[in-house]
Amino acid sequence: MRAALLGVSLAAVAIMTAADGVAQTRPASPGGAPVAPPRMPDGKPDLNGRWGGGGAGAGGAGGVQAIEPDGRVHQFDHYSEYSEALAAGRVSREAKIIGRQPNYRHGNNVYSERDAGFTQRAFGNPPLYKPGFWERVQYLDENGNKEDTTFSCFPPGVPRLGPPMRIVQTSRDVVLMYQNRNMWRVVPIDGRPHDPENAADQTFNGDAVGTWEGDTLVIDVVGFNDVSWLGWPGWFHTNNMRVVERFRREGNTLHYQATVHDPEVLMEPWETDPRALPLNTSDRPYIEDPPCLDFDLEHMLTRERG
Amino acid sequence: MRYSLAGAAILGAVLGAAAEARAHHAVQAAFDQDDHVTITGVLTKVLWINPHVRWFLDVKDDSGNVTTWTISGAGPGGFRDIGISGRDVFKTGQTYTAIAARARDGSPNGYILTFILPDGRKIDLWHQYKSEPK
Repeated sequence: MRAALLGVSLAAVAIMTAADGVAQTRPASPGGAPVAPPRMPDGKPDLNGRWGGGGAGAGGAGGVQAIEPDGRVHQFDHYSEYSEALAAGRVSREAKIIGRQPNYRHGNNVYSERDAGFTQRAFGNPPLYKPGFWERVQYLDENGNKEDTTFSCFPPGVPRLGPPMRIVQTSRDVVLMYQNRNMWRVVPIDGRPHDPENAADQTFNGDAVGTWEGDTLVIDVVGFNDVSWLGWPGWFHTNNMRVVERFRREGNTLHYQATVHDPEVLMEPWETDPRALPLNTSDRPYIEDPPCLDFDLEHMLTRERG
Repeated sequence: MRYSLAGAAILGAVLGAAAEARAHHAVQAAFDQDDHVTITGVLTKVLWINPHVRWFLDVKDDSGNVTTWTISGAGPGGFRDIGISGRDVFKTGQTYTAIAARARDGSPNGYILTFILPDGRKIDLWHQYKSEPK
């Protein structure tokens, strides 16, 4: 019965893919059974696509509001829409413009920082450090303004980089593209072992090779530096860390999760919170992520960062 | 595990896609949101860079001395997404007024709350929570 249902949903995926080029609708998952992914000519799951927010900015969080002196509120997605309304006389020149305010509280940078910091500490999924290393975690957290190298514009590194916004796949490799600093990684998936030289190097994204375990693409990464962190609250790692990233497509959802093996400092492997990214069928142009330049550190007088 | 899943959901809601972009950079450590400074000057440069956008304003005092103020804002991605990075909004050579959170170290730096454009319109880039309307 389950096989039959799976067959039906497979057929549905095949039909939609054929009809639209890219399936627009997320196929149903009858009885919670995994929905088969579309496949490449070589039979492997097709991970090609723009995933999640997809690298076109904040993705509609916020927008532009114009608030009239009498309290009426106009909501626009884009400043150009506001400009048109102003030119057409639908908004008065006296209306106050509010840019990029997704909601009341989190439009305030201080509150949003505090809330995010509190949430990560209170509800986060911290790596389980061995006894003797927690003091270092606490020190780094309390002094994150100076110690967290992403504050001085260093790359976040794997796995803090998170899942890619775009995947290009061939039978030999996958190209993982990130909005963050316009970063890209090319990962061989032809079964080769780690490059011995790169695997002994110390880099932010490490040396990565991928293999298929069934329909899951498993990417093994070694050769890290010990500069990057695993997460914002002082979660450091050593340069002997190994990261295993898992990519699995179900229907039009990409599941991503990473496991960090760092037995020198961790009691057990750390599993990142799983991410589920919907296929993004937007054809909006990608925006460039501008370079990061730090001007702030010398002006930070307190340790507060949330 | 239940807690960490709940945490993931809350975090996702709070940070959204921003989690993997760049976090805010401890705004409160450098700027005092309760101490506002209002400056008026000629916009000489805008840098749409990470992690914070920078506006540079040349401010002339009564004796004619010019001080260059650096005003920061949020990251460029959100501004670009809603079109505020357009060249029709910030024009170098024109006079802008910035209401900003003052730098704690007394340097000519601020974190932008509200811009007053050359034509008098106001653009608010930071909710002040206590007094601002929803």
